[in-house]
Amino acid sequence: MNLLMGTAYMLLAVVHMFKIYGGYDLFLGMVLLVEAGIYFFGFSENPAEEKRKYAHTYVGGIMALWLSIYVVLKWLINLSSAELKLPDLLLIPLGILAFVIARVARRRILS
Amino acid sequence: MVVVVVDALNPEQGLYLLLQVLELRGDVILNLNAVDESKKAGVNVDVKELSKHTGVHVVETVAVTGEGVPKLLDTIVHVYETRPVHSPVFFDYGEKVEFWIQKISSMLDCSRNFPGRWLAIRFIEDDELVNRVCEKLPSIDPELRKELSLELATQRHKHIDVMIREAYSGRNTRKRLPLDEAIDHVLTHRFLGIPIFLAIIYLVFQLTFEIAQPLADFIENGITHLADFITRSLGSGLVSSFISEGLVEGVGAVLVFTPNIFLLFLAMGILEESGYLPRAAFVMDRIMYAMKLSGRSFVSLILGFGCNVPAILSTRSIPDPKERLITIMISPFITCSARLPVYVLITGIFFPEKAGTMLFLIYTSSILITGISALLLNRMLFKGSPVPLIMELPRYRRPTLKGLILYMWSKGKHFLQKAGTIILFASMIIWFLSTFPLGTSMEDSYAATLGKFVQPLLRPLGYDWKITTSLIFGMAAKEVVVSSLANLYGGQGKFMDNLARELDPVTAFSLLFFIMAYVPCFATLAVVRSETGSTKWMIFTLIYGLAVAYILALMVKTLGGLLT
Repeated sequence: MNLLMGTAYMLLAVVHMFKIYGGYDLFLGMVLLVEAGIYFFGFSENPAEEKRKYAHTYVGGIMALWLSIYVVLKWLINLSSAELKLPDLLLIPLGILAFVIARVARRRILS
Repeated sequence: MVVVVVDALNPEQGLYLLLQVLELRGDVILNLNAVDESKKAGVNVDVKELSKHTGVHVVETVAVTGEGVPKLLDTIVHVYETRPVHSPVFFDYGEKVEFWIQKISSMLDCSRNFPGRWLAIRFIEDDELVNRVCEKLPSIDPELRKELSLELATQRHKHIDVMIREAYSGRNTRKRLPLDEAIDHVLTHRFLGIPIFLAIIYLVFQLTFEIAQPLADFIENGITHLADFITRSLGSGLVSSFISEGLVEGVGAVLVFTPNIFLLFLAMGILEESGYLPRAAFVMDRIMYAMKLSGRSFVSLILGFGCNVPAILSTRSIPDPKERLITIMISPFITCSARLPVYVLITGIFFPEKAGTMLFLIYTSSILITGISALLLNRMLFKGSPVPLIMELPRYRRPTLKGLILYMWSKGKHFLQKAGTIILFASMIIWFLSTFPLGTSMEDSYAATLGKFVQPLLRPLGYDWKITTSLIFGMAAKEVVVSSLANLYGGQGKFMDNLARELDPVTAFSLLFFIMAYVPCFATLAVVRSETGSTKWMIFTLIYGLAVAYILALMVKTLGGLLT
């Protein structure tokens, strides 16, 4: 799961950093790169240390949710002037999905 | 009387402090805080047993909800009114240590009225206080001193172990908060820790600008309408000009940024109350160490984002005098909330599409300049390594709405108080200087004379006399730069357009850097002087800041000119 989520955020980071699909925001791209990094480092954890892997999934999920809230707030505030671009739009369902996965990871950590 | 607050779930450090206090005096109350969390973790504390061991009143509280606080207050009153005999508590440290305590105690010649036994213990533990209050100090083999000091700590920990064993139940079987450990594993990760911190700070500044903007625009419209209403009602005389342009527009230009300031403090409150900020200090310790500082300095510097004055005052917790001095001198580079209105104004006018990103750039630049200055000052003035950081990371907590509102208000009200005092006063002065002598244009006003006198120094940076005058007034408080610009560039509603017309984006960007680094406000300078105990360091801070600001602004102006 860490690899999948990491790849998704990495792709979105590239989209934001390299002006693909009109989603140019270098700094947001860098934030997304950090988000991807959280998942990738989780993937690279020792398989025997399962809880550490879940720790990355959990923190990544919380941050992903904050990112999607940020995108929604930004869009709501600029409602009259700004359209929601595809790369930003994708962040919303992805954040919700990441959060749902984080809840599962939380249960695994506490078990 | 002393109230020692101890974390109910992790009492070791707090109880250690209690034992140290009890060696000095007996009128002590032990406040066991966060008992809700200990109960939640399955840990029960026998308060009577703890009281029996320590010989003091023990009161349980939950500070976040206020539970037990009335009882604590009653106990404080009770202990104060009954005035029992408060002799220090003697703990037996073993034959060898006790022999040396007695021997040192008889050899010390101290002017202050502290118990001899306590002074002897402080002397063994190499406390600087003993050097200050005692004229005659015994000479003792450093190795022996170290050995005795170690034994003192060991014996205290043994006492604490006994206390916890007999007063606590369920502690050994409790879960070790695995979720906290899991979160820490990622947030304090060797490679991820710093990028995560930067990402969080970036989002905070984006939100500070984006979310607050509609509210700021609303206030701005209100102020413009009020000023217009006053002008319409009172006509175009001197009184009308004073009230509408001097007071309403001068103070209003700063009040516009109230939502940004409060939102920034709300975000900082979330980071602090959730327990993230100490982790940030822990993560930054590696970088701080490279600058010959420690995470302790970082904690002080973080406070500087609110106001530089408490940041400088908090350096008292830094044990190394050199590190403390350096932290004091670099603190003014950290962008305080007073500078935020100026940044928001300039970025909003010249870089409206990327205002949040520009804010983030300025803030990260201020951190970078702070770090480089630390390194430079350390190289120039001092040698040696910092004291390693040892800190207990608090548990993660979900911030409460009440706690956040209190935090936001306690930090933000300072801004409103300043608007009603320093900024109001400065606005009046600026209005006076820009209006008089009567009958002349603003170009011939006193403000213009002052600005034009200093302006040649700032001419290479592209600043006209109006900006120069605003920067001079900004030394009283940074927000005054905004009210000065509003006054000198034509008042609320017009000054932003006038600024945009008269200034190019590169000069505006260099102005941001100049304001970030130039002379700290008078209050900060006063605290630098009082905390360093020297006018020399205050003048150094002033000149150094000015030099850094000038060089930075010139670099931005030159490079920007080449690139555009």
